[in-house]
Amino acid sequence: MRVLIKGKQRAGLIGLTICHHHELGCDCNSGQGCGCLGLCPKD
Amino acid sequence: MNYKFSKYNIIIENNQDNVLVYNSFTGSFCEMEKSVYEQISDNNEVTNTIKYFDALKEEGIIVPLFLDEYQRVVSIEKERMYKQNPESVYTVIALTLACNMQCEYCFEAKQNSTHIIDHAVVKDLIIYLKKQIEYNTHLKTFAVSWFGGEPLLGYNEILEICDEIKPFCEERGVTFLSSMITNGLLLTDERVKTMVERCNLYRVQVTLDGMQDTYCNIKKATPFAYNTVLNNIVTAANRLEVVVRLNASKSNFEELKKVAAMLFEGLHLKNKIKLYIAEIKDYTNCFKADCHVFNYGEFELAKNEFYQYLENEYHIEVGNLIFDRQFKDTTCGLIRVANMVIGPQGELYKCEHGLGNPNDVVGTIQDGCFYNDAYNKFCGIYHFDKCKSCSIFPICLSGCRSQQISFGEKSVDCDGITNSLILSLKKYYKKEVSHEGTDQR
Repeated sequence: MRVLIKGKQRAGLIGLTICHHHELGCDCNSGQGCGCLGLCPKD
Repeated sequence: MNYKFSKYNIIIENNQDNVLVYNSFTGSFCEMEKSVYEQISDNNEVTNTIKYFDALKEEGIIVPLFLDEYQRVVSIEKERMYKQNPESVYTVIALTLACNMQCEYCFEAKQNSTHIIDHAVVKDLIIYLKKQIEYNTHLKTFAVSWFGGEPLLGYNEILEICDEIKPFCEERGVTFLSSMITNGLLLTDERVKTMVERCNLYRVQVTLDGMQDTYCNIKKATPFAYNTVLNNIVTAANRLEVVVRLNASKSNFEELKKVAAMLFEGLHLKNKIKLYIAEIKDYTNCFKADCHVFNYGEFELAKNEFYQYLENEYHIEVGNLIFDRQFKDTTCGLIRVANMVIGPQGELYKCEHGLGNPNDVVGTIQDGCFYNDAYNKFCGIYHFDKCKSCSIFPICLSGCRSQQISFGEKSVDCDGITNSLILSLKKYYKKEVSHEGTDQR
């Protein structure tokens, strides 16, 4: 078995933040004119 | 404790010996022998005698037998949505709904407003923002997204607000950030320089709808405006992160490839800007019938085609869907209780699409949140029945809440998202195998 991308570990229900930007709520790129940009600045 | 095969595993047949498994909850992506896969997927219970048991458990490929995986996702969603005193607060501020362009698809097109925020409301807004910073005692980051209308019509007001909020944050050890969604026409180099310094502006998003003729037609703009926007994108890219959003319909989709060529080759912006494609949706029946929006299921295919074109022509990997679409606790940051949209009268909303609609007001900066129907429409758990058994549910979470309200179950292209993800995973695997840089267990 090979792990190609390591899974994110979560501490129970706390839900570790994936990255700073997602903590801010940037998410899908659906919907024109919305504040969600669809690209994580870390990408 | 025995274990079971996670319902959020997505299987890709690789060759006769191996399969690829991606888990949409943990984001783990593994390659395993088919014999192992058949053992863990066929059995109802998996014990610790199975090969690679520890790795499978750590990666979330197998989960405790009695775990309700759907409820785990929903519980995390609730915890994040209703979290009081968060570490980050995100506020979208529209100081005006007035705009210097008239995009035919704009969901605010019917507002027809010329009003820019009053001085008295600016004062109240500063007080409100300071309260958010002060009362959230665990706050580490306070982020503002300048929105509109066209936010730069309120440029002086933006500076006035930031001149108060930036030092207020700094005194409390809170990082202050701002970003902006703008049509770019007023985004002069001088303004960008000033906002980087006084507003901690770190990113702007500018929309392009096509080459000059298409752009001018859609936005009711002049060629001079088009070229000014392009010039402003070039100069801004030297100072901060510039994201160019390409609003796509069936009418302009093919032309967007020319826009990419123009940006990357003509203006030498490859590696200097980020580019992504977004679907135009008919939220408010506000645009012309000859702007042909994509039918259900078509946009994901178009998006894949576009990104493949960028990769082939420019060796640019845009919008890697594996990392774009991860489990992010809530489908959108604005449904988290601490985050708000603020309109030019000081009214509060839970979504930008509500701006200017009195029925979508959830409170005011002076009186706080009303916890009314408009608020509960967003701040709640709303998942379709089909989502409970869907293997990509963690990365989708039933999609944008605003689109759910507008379009129902058709708001999410489930097959399209799954197919796009599988495509990205296969590409990733091919690249990784050729580089031979993986963690082998």
